Amino acid sequence: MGFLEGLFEDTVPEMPIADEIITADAVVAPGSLYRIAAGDVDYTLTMQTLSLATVSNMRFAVKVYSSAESVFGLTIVAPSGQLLEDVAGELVASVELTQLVGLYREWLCDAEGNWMLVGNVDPGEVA
Amino acid sequence: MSQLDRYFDTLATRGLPVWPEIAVGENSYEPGYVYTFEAADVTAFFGIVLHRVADVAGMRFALKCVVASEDPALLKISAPDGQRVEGDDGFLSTGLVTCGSQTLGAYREWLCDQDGNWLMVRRIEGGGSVLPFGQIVIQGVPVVIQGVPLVNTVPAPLALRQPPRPVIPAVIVPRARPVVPPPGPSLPEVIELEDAFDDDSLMNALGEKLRMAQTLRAMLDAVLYFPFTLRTTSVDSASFESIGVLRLDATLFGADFVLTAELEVSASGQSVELQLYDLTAAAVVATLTSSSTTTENQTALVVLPLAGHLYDVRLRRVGGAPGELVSCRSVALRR
Repeated sequence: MGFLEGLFEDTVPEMPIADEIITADAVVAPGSLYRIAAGDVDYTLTMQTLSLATVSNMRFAVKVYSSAESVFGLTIVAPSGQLLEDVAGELVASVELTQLVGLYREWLCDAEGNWMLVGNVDPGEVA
Repeated sequence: MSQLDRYFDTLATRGLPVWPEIAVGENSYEPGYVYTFEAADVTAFFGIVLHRVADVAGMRFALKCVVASEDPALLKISAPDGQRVEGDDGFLSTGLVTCGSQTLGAYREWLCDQDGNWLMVRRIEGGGSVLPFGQIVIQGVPVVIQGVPLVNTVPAPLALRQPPRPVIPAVIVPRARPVVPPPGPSLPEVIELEDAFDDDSLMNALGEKLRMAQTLRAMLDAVLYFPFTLRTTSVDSASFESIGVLRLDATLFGADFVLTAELEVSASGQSVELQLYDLTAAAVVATLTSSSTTTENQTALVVLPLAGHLYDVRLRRVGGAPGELVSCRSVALRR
């Protein structure tokens, strides 16, 4: 088997990356990774409400990938009737984060509409 | 909706395959895989092989430390030319970035976006044992002989060494239903059909009906033709020269065969001799002769042993002059 043979075929993207880059409050559809360019105001991202049958097993992620002079807040609001898991493991209607560059959160929705936290990167000191 | 709905679909698109060999040394690695590596006391450098952003957008790249070092050094990664990679500090860089130390269990995973930024999306610090993998410990004390740790050399977990296997979706299909006869009047257990071929003229001396056997024999006769594979069809040698061989076991067919050959000579006054030679028994079986300058069929009845033998057909020129070829266009044994 050649080194490159099948390279791109067996690496199906787990989750598409949205083309739009978040620079202000927005309503976003689950199922994609949204990139966030940190700004000098707080952002609120509201997840669009879709049927449970549609969102079950679906993922949603945010990534702060550019920095600002100061670190502002980032609020992720769960879809109506659904809940998001925070880093403490609690299911809540909205999650408070920061626009700290490098921050990453990923959720996977179960059949009851609970968005379970499955990916979590907090940038910190280099070891 | 079933609990299992889309289960396999999810699996099929989740897995980031593990490269089957442990990565060694400073090198560039193809994206799309998890690379395992052994910790060392010097900084480890990993580079991502350059591909077009259109090809790698949505692709992942990951590193996992699976073998410990007593003094793990830094782990660094570099982006491909024109692309950027995120370090532990969250910043994207076109150069080398640090992504932790080579602590046992450390894991980093990046996802490439449409702009060629390798975004860190998984980060596990590890921090497991700093003893070498397989270090033998007795009552909590690592065994060291003359400064060298005593290590069990059982390889790292197989799951990390096996090449990625494709996930095959499973589909459950309904069990085939048994055929149930339609309701109605009871059916007879057997249906009687009149034998239109029941003819005593087809009976042999023992009273057995032969029509089927005869039909089969006729079919078999049509195919009982065993041609020799010829390496040449012409010779000018005055002594016998082998032109082809055939291995045949006559047990299934009976001993009586016909040797049939198409022979010709190139000039008047000469003749051709074809010899069937049993190489296994080292004996001449039959000889065919022709003096025709046009292709002529010659045959001979032969009796073959009822065992597997290797047969040779040999050809020679009789009379004429050297350079004047004699030929056998084809030769076969048939029933």
